[in-house]
Amino acid sequence: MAKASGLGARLFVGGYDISGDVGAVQTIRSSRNVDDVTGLDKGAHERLLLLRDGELQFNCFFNPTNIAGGGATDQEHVALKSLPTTDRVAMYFHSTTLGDPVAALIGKQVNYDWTRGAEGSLRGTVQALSDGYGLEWCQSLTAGKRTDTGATNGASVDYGAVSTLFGLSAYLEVFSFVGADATVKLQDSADNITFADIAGAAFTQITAAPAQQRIETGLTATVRRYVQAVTVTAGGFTSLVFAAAFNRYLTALS
Amino acid sequence: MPAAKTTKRYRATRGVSVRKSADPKSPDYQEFVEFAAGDVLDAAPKHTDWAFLLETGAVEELGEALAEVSDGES
Repeated sequence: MAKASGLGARLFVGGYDISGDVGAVQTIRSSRNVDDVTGLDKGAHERLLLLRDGELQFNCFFNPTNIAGGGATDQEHVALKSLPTTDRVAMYFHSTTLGDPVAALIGKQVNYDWTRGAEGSLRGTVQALSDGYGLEWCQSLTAGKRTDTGATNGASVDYGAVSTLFGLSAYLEVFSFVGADATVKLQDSADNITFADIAGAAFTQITAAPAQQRIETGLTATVRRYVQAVTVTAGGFTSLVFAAAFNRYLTALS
Repeated sequence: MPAAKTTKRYRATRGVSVRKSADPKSPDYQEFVEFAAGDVLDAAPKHTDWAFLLETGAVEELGEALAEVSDGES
C-alpha cells in the first residue's frame, strides 16, 4: 500500500454519519502512559508502560437537520448536542474500501463547544476520550456504510496466510433499521469457503437505530485468515444500514 | 450381497456459512449455504472444510448414517 492522504475519510459517532458536517479531525490519539523508573545506576531512562488512552477530536459545522424518525439522515446537532452520560462509539474510516484502516474508540463525549466568528462563521469542536479501552486501529468489515435488505454474508477481509491467537475486538454503528430484528456477527475462515461464527464475536441484537457497540472475544481466541461480517435475523428485516470494523489482536494484551 | 455406504453427519453448534461454489469464477461463489446452531448439515456442499469446523468446535459429529445401498459396489 502506498502513502495516502486523508481524502475519502468518513466519521461516524453514536450511530450517526456526520462526515458531511465535519471539516477536520484534529486528533486521533492512541497512547500509553509511562512510568519513569530510572535507577541511580543507569545512564539512560528506564520506562514502564502503564494505562492505554485514546482520543478523537474534530471540528464541525452547525447542522441542526432533524428528520422525524431520523437516525440515518439526522446531522451533527442531533447527534452531538446531548452530551450523553453513556459511552459513545466513534469511528474514523480512512476510506470506504473494505479492509482499510479505521480508528475506533468507545468513550465519553466531553464537550460540544461553538465559536461564532465576527465574520459570521459558526464552528464547533468536539472531543471524545476513551473509556475502558484505548483508541484502536481496526480494519473495516464494511466498505463505509453497508446496506443489507435481508440476512447477508459480507465480503471477507484477508489478513494473509496465518491465523492469530489473541482474540479480537470489534465496533458497530447502526444508522438505520427497518424490521423486527437483526444481528451482526463475525465469522472466520481458513480457506475463504467455509466460515464459522467466531465465539464471542456477535453484537447485541438490533431492533432500533441509532445503535452502537464494542465487543471483545476471549483473549486466547484463534482468528483465522479471512473474516467477514454477517447479518442474520429471526423475525426479518427489510433494511439495515451499518458500519463495522475489527481489531485483530496480534499479541497478548498487556 | 448389497454393500451399505455410510456417511458422517454433523450438527452445527454455532453459525456456519459455506459458499455454494468453491470456484471464484462461478456466480454461486457469492452465495452461501447457511446453518444455524442446532441444524444438521446434511445439505452442506461437498467442498465444506469439515476439519476446520471440527477443530473450531463449530460442528459436532452425530455418527454415521446410511447414505445409500448399492449392488456390490464398494
